[in-house]
Amino acid sequence: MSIVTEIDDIEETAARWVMRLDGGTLPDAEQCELDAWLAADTRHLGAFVRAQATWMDLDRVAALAAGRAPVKPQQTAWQWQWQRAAAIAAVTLGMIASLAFVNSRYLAGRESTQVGEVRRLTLADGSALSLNTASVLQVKFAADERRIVLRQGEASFQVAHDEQRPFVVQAGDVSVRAVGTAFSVRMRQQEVEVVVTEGVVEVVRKDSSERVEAERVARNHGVVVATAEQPSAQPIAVAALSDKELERRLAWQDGRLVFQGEALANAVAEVNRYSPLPVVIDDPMLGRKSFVGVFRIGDTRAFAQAAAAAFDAQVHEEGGELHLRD
Amino acid sequence: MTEIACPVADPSSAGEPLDPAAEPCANRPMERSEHVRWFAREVLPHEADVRRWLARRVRGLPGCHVDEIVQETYARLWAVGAARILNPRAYFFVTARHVVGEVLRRSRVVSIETMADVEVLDIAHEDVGPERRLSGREEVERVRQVMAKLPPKCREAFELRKFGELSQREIAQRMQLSESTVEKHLVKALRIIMSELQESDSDVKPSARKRHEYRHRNR
Repeated sequence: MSIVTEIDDIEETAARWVMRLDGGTLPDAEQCELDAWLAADTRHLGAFVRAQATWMDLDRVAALAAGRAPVKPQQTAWQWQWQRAAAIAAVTLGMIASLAFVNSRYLAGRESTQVGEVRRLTLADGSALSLNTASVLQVKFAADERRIVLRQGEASFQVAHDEQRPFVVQAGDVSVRAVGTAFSVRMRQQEVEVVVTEGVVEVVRKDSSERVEAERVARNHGVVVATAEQPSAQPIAVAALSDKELERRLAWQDGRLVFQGEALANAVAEVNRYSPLPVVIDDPMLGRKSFVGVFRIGDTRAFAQAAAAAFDAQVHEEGGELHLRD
Repeated sequence: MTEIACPVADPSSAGEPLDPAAEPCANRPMERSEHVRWFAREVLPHEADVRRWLARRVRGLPGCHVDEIVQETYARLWAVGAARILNPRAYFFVTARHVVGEVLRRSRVVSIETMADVEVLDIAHEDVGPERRLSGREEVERVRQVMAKLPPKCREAFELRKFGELSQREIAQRMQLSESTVEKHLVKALRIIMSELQESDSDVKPSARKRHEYRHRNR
């Protein structure tokens, strides 16, 4: 029997599922149907959780009414289980994003992503990482150190706490050291960018003559480290980041690109990281205009059309490129 | 107007559409029921206040419907997980605000002016306010009032299920109805209870305060 058909009201459907579950364990077919319904729309899940919580809470009220002691959840057991599940799945990284595939198999060595691909992985120590588009890294875990070598691109890390084994991400001559914290590292042509979202990390740069620069960086800060070949007055530049800026920088983990008023040319450069179909701005004036919007990673056409609509321009697809012009 | 710091990681990182395979606990019944219980105790009681705040702030904003924003917010809170949320009340508000911001940004290529509206959505401490919990007696009273509004069969089924602790099958036998009819009665009961509780919650403020004062005077 199908519950979903012909019912478009989310709350009604949610209540029906809650009551179907209340009646007993679901047969496999219905469980599949429920899973599919929950997966179809986040609002479905939200409505379902809400209805279930309300239904369950009525037990507590009924117990109060009868003067019975409300049934106490066994805190310790389940919380531990839940925390563990959360740590392993690294829920905070937004593992539910559409592009995300939680891969619980342990990493062995080299991992890479294609253009436009974002992947999440769980490491043997329970740490989790997200690998952004066109990136390559190498996992080198030893007894006294957990080392990740970022060869190319960008990755973010949710580090499981372990004081005995520091977690080090090496990006060229820059390394970022953490005990238990969350941060992301991006390699660019002439610099390495680090964003710290939790805890504290130590950013170290070593140049060819073994001169060492080090800086401790706290959460909600971003760092730009010039690579050693680049002469720089301030090799490690630390800046506080607003919540908005943090959201923008890390939106890729959810499969989104967020633009909050930066120049269209910069937005285009960002979008092009993720797509084999590059956007090209034919008019430099257009490139300097300030652009706002949120896009799904890889949806280059939507981006180009939105930009065209915003600035009264046209999109022409030619030679495997999307041209923006007046 | 100070903005509430987000108690843990950025709620916006709790992502968009759901991949059930990636959802950490939806497919594990044991953990799920504990998680639902956590929701019942730590999230549900704040919903009325979040709705009130939303109703004030999102009126007239494109594509923003309070019910949908609440549903989306629940989905994200669920995905983030109990262990990560230190202050559920503040987290609920902050997540709801994020959802509104995203709805606005997604609804079209938003003009700079509308983005300014999103700024207005910053949550002040006075919005979140202190948590007010009903006493056990008040909760029971509230549910009883709502039950009085249920149609007779529907109420009977509900009472047998929750207060009589009978299973749906036992209720069907007792009431000489099919199990699917019992299920329908219970669905109806749950829906009425949900909408009544939510309404009484969100309209309540003045009358609840009055009731409270009244009680004081009588003491």
